[in-house]
Order: sequence, then structure tokens, then C-alpha cells
Amino acid sequence: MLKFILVKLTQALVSVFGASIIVFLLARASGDPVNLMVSANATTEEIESLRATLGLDRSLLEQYLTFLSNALRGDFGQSIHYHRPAVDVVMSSVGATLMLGSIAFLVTVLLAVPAGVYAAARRDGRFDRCVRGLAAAAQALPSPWVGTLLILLFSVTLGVLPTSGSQGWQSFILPVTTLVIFAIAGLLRLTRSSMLETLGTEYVRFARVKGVSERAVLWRHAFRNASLSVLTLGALVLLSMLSGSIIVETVFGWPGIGRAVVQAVNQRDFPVVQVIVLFMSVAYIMGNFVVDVLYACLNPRIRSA
Amino acid sequence: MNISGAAVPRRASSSTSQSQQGDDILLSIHGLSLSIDTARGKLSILHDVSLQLARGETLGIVGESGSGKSMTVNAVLGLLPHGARIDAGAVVFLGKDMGALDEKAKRALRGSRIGTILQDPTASLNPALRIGHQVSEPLRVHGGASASQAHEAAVDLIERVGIPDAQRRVRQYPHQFSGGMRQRIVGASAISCKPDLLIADEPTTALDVTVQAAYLDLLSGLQAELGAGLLFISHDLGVVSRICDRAAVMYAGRVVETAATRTLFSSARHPYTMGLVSCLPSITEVGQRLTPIPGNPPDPAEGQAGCPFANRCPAVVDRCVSEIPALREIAPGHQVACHRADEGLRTQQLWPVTSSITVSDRDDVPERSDRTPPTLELSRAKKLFTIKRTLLGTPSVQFCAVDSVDLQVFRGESVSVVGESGSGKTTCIRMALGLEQPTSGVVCFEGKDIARLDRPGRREYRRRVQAVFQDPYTSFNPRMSIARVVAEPLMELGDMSRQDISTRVDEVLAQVGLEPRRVRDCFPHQLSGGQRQRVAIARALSTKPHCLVLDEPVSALDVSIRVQILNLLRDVQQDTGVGILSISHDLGAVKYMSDRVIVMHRGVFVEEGTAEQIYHRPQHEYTQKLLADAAAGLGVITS
Amino acid sequence: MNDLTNAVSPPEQAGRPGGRIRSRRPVRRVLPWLPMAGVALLTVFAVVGPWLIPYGESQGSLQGRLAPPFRTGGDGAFHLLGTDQLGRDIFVRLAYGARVSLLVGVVGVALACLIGTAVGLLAGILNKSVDAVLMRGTDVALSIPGLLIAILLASIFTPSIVTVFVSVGLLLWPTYARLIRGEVLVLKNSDFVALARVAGCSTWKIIVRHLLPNVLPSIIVLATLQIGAAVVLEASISFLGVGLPPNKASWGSMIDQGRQYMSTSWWLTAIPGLFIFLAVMSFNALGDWARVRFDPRLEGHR
Repeated sequence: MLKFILVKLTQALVSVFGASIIVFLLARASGDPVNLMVSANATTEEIESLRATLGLDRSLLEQYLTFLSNALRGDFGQSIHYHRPAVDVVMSSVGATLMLGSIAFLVTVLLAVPAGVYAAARRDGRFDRCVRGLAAAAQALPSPWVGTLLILLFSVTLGVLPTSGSQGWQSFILPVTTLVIFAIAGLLRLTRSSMLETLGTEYVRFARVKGVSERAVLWRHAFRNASLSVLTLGALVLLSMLSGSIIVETVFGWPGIGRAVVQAVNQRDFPVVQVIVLFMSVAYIMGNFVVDVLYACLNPRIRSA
Repeated sequence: MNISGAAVPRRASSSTSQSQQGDDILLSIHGLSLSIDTARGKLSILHDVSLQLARGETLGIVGESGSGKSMTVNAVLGLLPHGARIDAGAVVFLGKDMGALDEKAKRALRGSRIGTILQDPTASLNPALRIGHQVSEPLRVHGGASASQAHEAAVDLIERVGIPDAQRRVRQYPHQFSGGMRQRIVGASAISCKPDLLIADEPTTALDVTVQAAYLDLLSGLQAELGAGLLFISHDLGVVSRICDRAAVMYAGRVVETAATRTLFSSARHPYTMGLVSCLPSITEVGQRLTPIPGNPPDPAEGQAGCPFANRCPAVVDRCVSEIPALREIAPGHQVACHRADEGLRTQQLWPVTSSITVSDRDDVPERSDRTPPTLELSRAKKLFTIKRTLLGTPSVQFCAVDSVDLQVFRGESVSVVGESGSGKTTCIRMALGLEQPTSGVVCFEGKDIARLDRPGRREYRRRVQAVFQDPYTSFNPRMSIARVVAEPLMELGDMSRQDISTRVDEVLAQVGLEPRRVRDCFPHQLSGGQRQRVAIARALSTKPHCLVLDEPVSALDVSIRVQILNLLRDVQQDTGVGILSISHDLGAVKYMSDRVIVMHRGVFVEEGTAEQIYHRPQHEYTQKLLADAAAGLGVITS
Repeated sequence: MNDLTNAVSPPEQAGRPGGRIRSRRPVRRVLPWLPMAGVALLTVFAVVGPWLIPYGESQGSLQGRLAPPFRTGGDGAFHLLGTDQLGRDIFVRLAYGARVSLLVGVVGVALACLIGTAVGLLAGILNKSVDAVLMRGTDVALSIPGLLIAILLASIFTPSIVTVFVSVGLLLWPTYARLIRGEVLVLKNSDFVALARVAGCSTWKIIVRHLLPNVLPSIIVLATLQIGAAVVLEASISFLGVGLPPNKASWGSMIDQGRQYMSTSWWLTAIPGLFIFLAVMSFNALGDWARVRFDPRLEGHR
């Protein structure tokens, strides 16, 4: 098990490393930051000296190594728009996203998993068809539209919930709903299909042959095994949350990193964009790693190896 | 007691109280007919099946795939698959009509009064639950045992089925046990509530020969100890005869004959039973030719107007085609469903065993001498597999699958390598086929190392060495027509025109007993297992090989089809003088077709000799054990 | 996310020794008429829609702005689905938006399919170290949220339909790579591939003759399922304003631009959203049908 975790950790670190290269290259490709930093009538010498101070005259590899060592120290440069460290800018909005994301994540899991399990238990029954229909609809609903319509209905027409911002629990309802609709279909369908798969196995038949009640067959025998593949999808749900937060935060004016990244792009504030991209991919990779560790803990094959 | 279908009331709960044998009858199935709705329409799976089992008795149900034996078990357990429906008849267990019970009442019987062992021990146990929990689960569910009681019971039960160190092992998970042990664990779970009825559905089929015998002994012991009835399902008449007093032979959803197992061997009355008996390879002598049951079982989607066996029966008369024979008692305890049961048909007449020419009598095979190199040769071939690696990727644990073996196959001879699963026999032939590179040693084709062949040499090797694999369901690309499947090796040789290839394909298809025009454009899924194996042989023969490499070519097939394929291989060998290298896990199965037999155990050849020597004068301890185990599966015959 | 191999169960084979006859729910062989009609209508709408109405994509007058559907606007012209905040005809803009959505769906998915299949095949066939490198690459690609890729590309290059193609392709290819790799790993060890090697087939021939034809159904099914995802993605990218240039019509940007007028002119957002919903439903239903019909193991993957 220790070996399994070490291997997964190495893989995660390699992935983080890969992501950092991509972010760095994109940063370089986004154009010369000097042009954004100097005034329009700067002389060539001024520009060159600034380039030298920023280390832009050195080779790409050297620049990357500088970028990496700075990044490891948490230094991603100054935000062009806010004139303070990019990391600080991002950190001030991370909390809001985490709040929103974790609530939506919980709601998604608590709705999707039991629904998927019961849909599989009564395959082709009324509940199953209903759930499948809702999942199909959820998958086809574009979240900007859902968010807008929710605002139209509950805030504009009925006036019961706030349109934007993050003040009070009421302001969570609409963004969370939108995020859940965005993320729920995949988890629901996978839970259902892996339950169907385990319900067809010989050990489930053996449990029935032993006279185990249908409820225990469902949860103790089938779900315990299906949960392993459901678990591996947990990281993907997390990814959906990150992706979805960009849209949802924009629609609801939520002060999180999703909205921040859109604003930063519009303001050509590249250091901030860089931090957020790196933050999101590291969050996903680490989420995936946590899932792998949990998987190892729950799977007796790996645990006892 | 014989109950004909028409006379049985549809829900026979009233008839049980009238049962003459009273309390002794544990389970009785009255005229059970069952059908199932599938994508292909309604299939009739069981027709008027009647069986009885008394307390303490052992009843075997023998049948090939599709005979309905497993569905009979499902009906007894009240666990019918989705879409299945009982059309007539009833299952009465302990005086209760199972059909009249609700799901909760049936569940209360399963696991407590009926203990069941399923076929595949590796799939029957839940990989995520501890062994102890799974063994004692029926006690918790039915007996309301507390956690500590259940734990103690689990330890006792696991000890009871012969697994040492039970205290520690109840805390382990299924993957930490071997297949044989897992099946013991399944058995322990089945007996945990001291059931009245034990049902074993092909419990030894997935086990190695050497483990099978011990498992059957265990099962007998448990059944005797509990005084329970045992319903034993198997496709293998030999295994059934070892453990059961009585057996019912099923064919195409019907019981065709029921009798004491000894009677089935000595004086079966149904031609199908006689055919099955004569198909058992172990009762034939080396070099004898078996008479196969021709054809295939009927399709359950088609209705039956006459005896379902009529189209394959050598004793068929007009009446058989038009009228379904009823199961009737011809002697005490002996029931047969055959119109000609009273005519005294004998096995020898219907399914004669003829002596075949042995290969050594032939003269057109090139003389073996020191000058002609063997077609295929493994010399000092060794294969290591890496099981574990360190974090840096260097091998830390290695497994020696094949340890420096020498093997030669000449044209015209048939060599069989026999061993249990994991003995290294498959690795041997994969090396011979160039699918696996030996770690050390060489594999030679006509004296030349196959790793160093030039292009023409390589082409010649591919032309002259062909293979047939075990599983006819995975041996074909599902998206290629039969004609293309068979033509593929010829196309790769690249020295024949399309027209010539097409002619050759028809030629070999005819040679293996298929009608070229009918199968050419079929896709693999449209053929039966036996037909596919014929196609596989046709493909292998298409390039006129000097050596055929066979990986358990018949073990995935039904008993009656097996002999057809074995005969075909024998014929092919005599007609073409091809050398055969085959592997098998069963000494009995290769007896009929090998000139030389090699016994393999843990990666080494422990004994090698002519078939005669191996079967009659085995020297090595392991060979003797294998032979004893093979014979043990056929108790009646050898005793 | 685990290898797809875990989700692959052996196909049921009736009549196989030891196998049980299992009932199968009758496979729907009927064609899914409703979604097919939806996709066909959408295509026709995209192709001829702009010609049906005598207004240009960005033509409009401020007098006729925010006209509700089925009314004659302030400029005295009739607009079937009303006009937007600049007085442009919504029907025409929807038709142009349909072109964008379809084009992005088809081209983006084709791009993803090409990259993903190539990576998956190579990872599956070549040795373990190549496999490890390619799969790490796939992990990294998956780890960057898809919309971020689009945002980044838009911030680097001038937004155009090409950047949208590329973002969709970059976002969706890892799914193909994982699927194909999983299938190839299983197929590569199958008996019929071993027999093909015994028959003397080269690796190239094995790929073309044995592997590709067997992964093709999965590729087609996944592609159908992903067109819907691509349409939603395009809408989201355009909504964030990082897709097509603002004067170009796209369903996503129509929703975005209509948001400010939500309280007075609901149709500006409701109608394009409805179009996205119906289009994606049609593609997904078609994909689901294809999955049930050709490859039931693909449940849950897209």
C-alpha cells in the first residue's frame, strides 16, 4: 500500500510539474509582458533594461527555472492591474470559491449517489426512467442559461433570493443549484452503471443465494464494490466544480477565483491568470491523489498488498 | 414415482400433502416448464421437468450447456432471472410450494434451509468483505447471531472445511486465497446454517484436477454429516457418478433419463446417455477411435414437435420425430424418455468404439532420423516473469514459468504436454509460437533459431507452424467474415492469387466438415462453439503446416462436441501427416490423441514417455497423482 | 479516474459452456426518430435559416430594439422571434449561431478524436515507458479545467472560431485517449491478435485490420456523445466573451448580451438557451441510442 501511494504521489508530482511547464509556456506565448508594463513612449534602452531585470533576455530553460524557483517560494510576480503580489490577489478570492464548491460538491454527491443506487436497483422502473430523464436534461442544460433563468425566476420575478454576491445563506442557493445541475449527470450515470455491473456479478448472486435481504445486497454487497469506481469519479466531479465555478461565479457575480480569472484575462493581468490556472490544476491533481489514497484504503487488494 | 406433465395440477401445493413418501421427500419438482423472454423472443428453457430428492440422498443433474440444468437450480432457489416465467408445474421444498411463497419467505429458506455452492469460486466471494463475514453471513441473517458468535462460528466452519490457521484467516480477504480454498470457503458458508438441502452448481468445474477430487470428498463428507439432501449439477457424468447415488440426465430442457449412477454407466437406456458415457475419454484405450454424437443441440427458440434428440440419434424412428416421448419408469428407480427404451438398445451398437490406425503404422511420414531436424524444438528454454518491481523499476520478485525445458516435435507425431494451471505449459507453446521470447535458451524451427530467421525463413516458419487456441469465442476478430478469417494466413504469405486463396479456403472448410458455401460469409458470432473450433482448425490447416500447436482445443466445448473435434484432429493428422503439439490440463482428455505425453509441473517436465508408458506405467510421483485424480473423477468406471 | 478496462466486462455469450442464459432487455433496434429529426432540423436551420429572413447578421436599427417575438418592432418591421438590444433580428442570429455550434461540434470533436485516437493507439501498442509518458500527458491535459484552456487561448490569440475549435479539441481529446488505450490493451492480448501474429501479420497490419475496426464503434459512439458536450462548451466560451468576436452571433454570447435586459426582455436569453438545450438533448439522445446499440460499456464516459 505504501508503494502504491508513493507511485501515485510521484505521478501527481510529475503532473504538477507538467502543468507548471504548460502554464509557463502559455505565459511566454501570451506576449511580451514588458509592453504592458512600460509607458508608450519608453525608449528602447528602458525596455531592454526592464527585460534584463525581469530576466527575459535569458534562455527559455533558464527563465523556466527562475519561474519554478519563484513559484515554489510562492512568488508569481505582481498583479498588473492591482499592483500587489498576484498570489495575494488570488488568495483573497479562493475562500469564496472553496465555500461554494464544497457545498455544491456535497449536495451533488448526496443526491447523485443514492439516486444512482436506487435507479440501478429497480432497473427500468419508474424511478429509474425518471432519474435517467433528469440526468439527460441536466447534461443538456447550459449553465449560463440555467443561472440566468434562476435569477430571472427567483430574484427578478419572485424577488425571494438575491441576484448576486455572497452575503448570507440565501445567496448560496442559486449558485449551488446551478453548479449541481452542471455536475450531477456524470456522477449519477456512473453510479448507476457501476451498480448495474456489480449487481450482475456472481458474488451478488451468492449473497442472494444466502438469503441476504435486498437492502443488504444493495448496500453491503453491491455498493461497497461499486463505490470504488464511483470514488474514482470524485476527482472528476471536483474538476466539474472548478470548471463550473468560472461560469457560475460570472453569472452570479460571486467573488471567487472563477470570476477573478475572467476579469484578469479581460484586464490582460497575466500573473493573476497564471496563479489561478496553476492553482486549479494543482487542486485537481491533488484531489485526484486524495482519491487514489482513499481508493487504496478502501480496496482490500491494495490495502493488504 | 413418475408424474407425467399433463396429470400435474398447475400449482401443486395440494398434491404435496398427499405425497406418499411423506416426510422423507425433501424436494420435489413437478412438471416444471419455464420460459424466458429475450431479445430473440420467447425461449422455452424447461419442459415438464420432474425430479425428487429425499433427505440424505444425493441427486446429480447432468447436462450440456443449454440443457436447462442451471435454470432448474434457479427455479428451486426462487431466483429466476429477469424475464423468466414458470409456465406450469411447481417446486415443492419441505412441503411448501415455492411458487406460492412471497419473496421474504423464500429468502428465509435460502441460506438457512438451502445451502448453495456456485460454479466460480473466484467470482462467488465479494472482494471487499472479509472471509469471516461472508462465511457467517447466513447465521447473522437467519439466526440473528451476534458479532462474536458469528466470528466463532466462522472460525469453526473454516476449520471444518480444512483451512488451517482459521483464527487468522477469517480476517483476510478473498484475493488472499487460492481457487480451491475459496471454493472451500463458499462451501463453509453454504453449510453454516446446517441446511436440509445442499445445492452444488458445477462446484469443481473451475478447479484444477488435483484439487477436484479432494473437494468432492469434502462435499460428500459435509453432506453425510448434515444428513442433508444434495443436488449436484454438472456437465460431467464422471464427476456426478463419483458423488451421487442417482442422476438425472437433461437434454434440451427435458429430463431424458433418471437412474442410479451405476445403472447409467452399465445399462443406460436413452441413446443420449449412452453417447455421453461412450464419450468419456478415460474409458477408451490409447489409439481407440471414439464415435461422436453428431450435430448440435436444438435451438430453444424453435418449438419441439418430437424427441429433441431425434436429429442426432442413431436409433431414430419415424415416431421420434412426431411424438415427444414421455418420461416413464422401465425399472424401479429407472425412468427414460425414449420411445425405444424397451427394445434393449446397447451402447456398443449405437456408439461403437472402433480401433484406429496408430500413426506409427503410417509410412508416408518422413522417417525420423538424426539428420532431419525436428519441425519445432525448444532447447533449454527458460522464461522468467517479473511479478514485482522496486520503485526504480528493477525486478524484485521473479517467477520462473518455464525452467530450461527441452521439447521436440517431428512431423507426423502428436505430442501432448499435460499440467495444472500455472504449470508453465501455456508459456511453453507461446514460446514455440514466437509470441513470447525465452529469457534464455532457444526455440528452433527446422533446426534454425526463430529469433534469427531472415525474411524468407520467417515466412516459412509462419507458413509451417500454425495454432488453434482454447476459446473459440475469442479466437476470431468479430468483424471478419469466416472466409477472411481462414484466408488471413494465406494472404500474409503473399504468394497466392485471390482466386487460389478462395479455392483453398473452400478446400480446407470442406476438410473440417463445414459446408464452404454456407459458412464463408458468416461472421463468427453466427456459428456455434464447435463450428468455430472447426473454422479455427481450417484456418490453421490452410497453409499446409508441418506442425499444429493446440492450446486445449476442446476444453471449452461441450462433451458431445469434444469428441467430434478430437476425431477431426486425428483425421487431419492422418491425412496430412502434420505434427501436433498440444497442451491440456487433463490427462484423460489427451489419452486418445497423443503418441507422446509430457507431464509438466511447476515449470519443469517431470516425466516424458509414450502414451502407453505414461498411462500404464507412470514413474513419477506427480504423474501417478494426476492419473489417480483423473480416475477419481470417474469412480464407477475404475472400480 | 480509473482505466476504462475496469468498466469492460466480457460480452455475454449465450450457449457458451458453463454460461447461463441471461435475459437481455430487448435492444432498441428502432431508430431514434425524435432526436434524429431534431439534428436534421437544426442542420437545415443552420444552412438555410439566414436566407429565410431578409435581415443581416449584424443589421439592426435602434428604433426597433428589444421587440418581443411575433410582433412588429418600433421600426415597423416584423420579427419572428423579436430583436435584441441593438435591434438585430434574433431568428437570423440564431441561425448564424447554429452554424457556429454545429461547426464547433463537428470540427472540435473531429480534432479531439484524431489527437485522442492517435495518443491512445500509441500508448496501447508501444512499450510501457511510452505508455507512461503519454498517459501522464493525458493526466496533465485533463487537470486543466477546459474553460481555462479556452480563456487562456483567447487571451493569447485573437479570439476567432479557430481558437474555439482548438479549445474544444484540447479539452475533449483525453477522453478518447483513455478509451482507446483501454480497449487496445484488452484487444492486444486477445487470442485473435495472437493468432494473427502466428499467421505472420505485421504490427501495422494488426493495427489496421484487427485493432482499429474493433475500436471504431466506441469511437463513433463517443463522438456522438461528445458533440453535445462541444456545443455546451462553445456556448460557455462565447458566454464568457472569449469565443467569437462580439459582433458575430453565437448562442452563448446571445445569452450573455441578453442578461442585462433580463428583467424587461426575457426572450433575449430564454430563446438561445432553449435552442442550446434542444440541440444538445438531440445529440445526446442520439449518442445514448448509439451507445446502447453498439457499445453498452461506454455508460458514464464522455
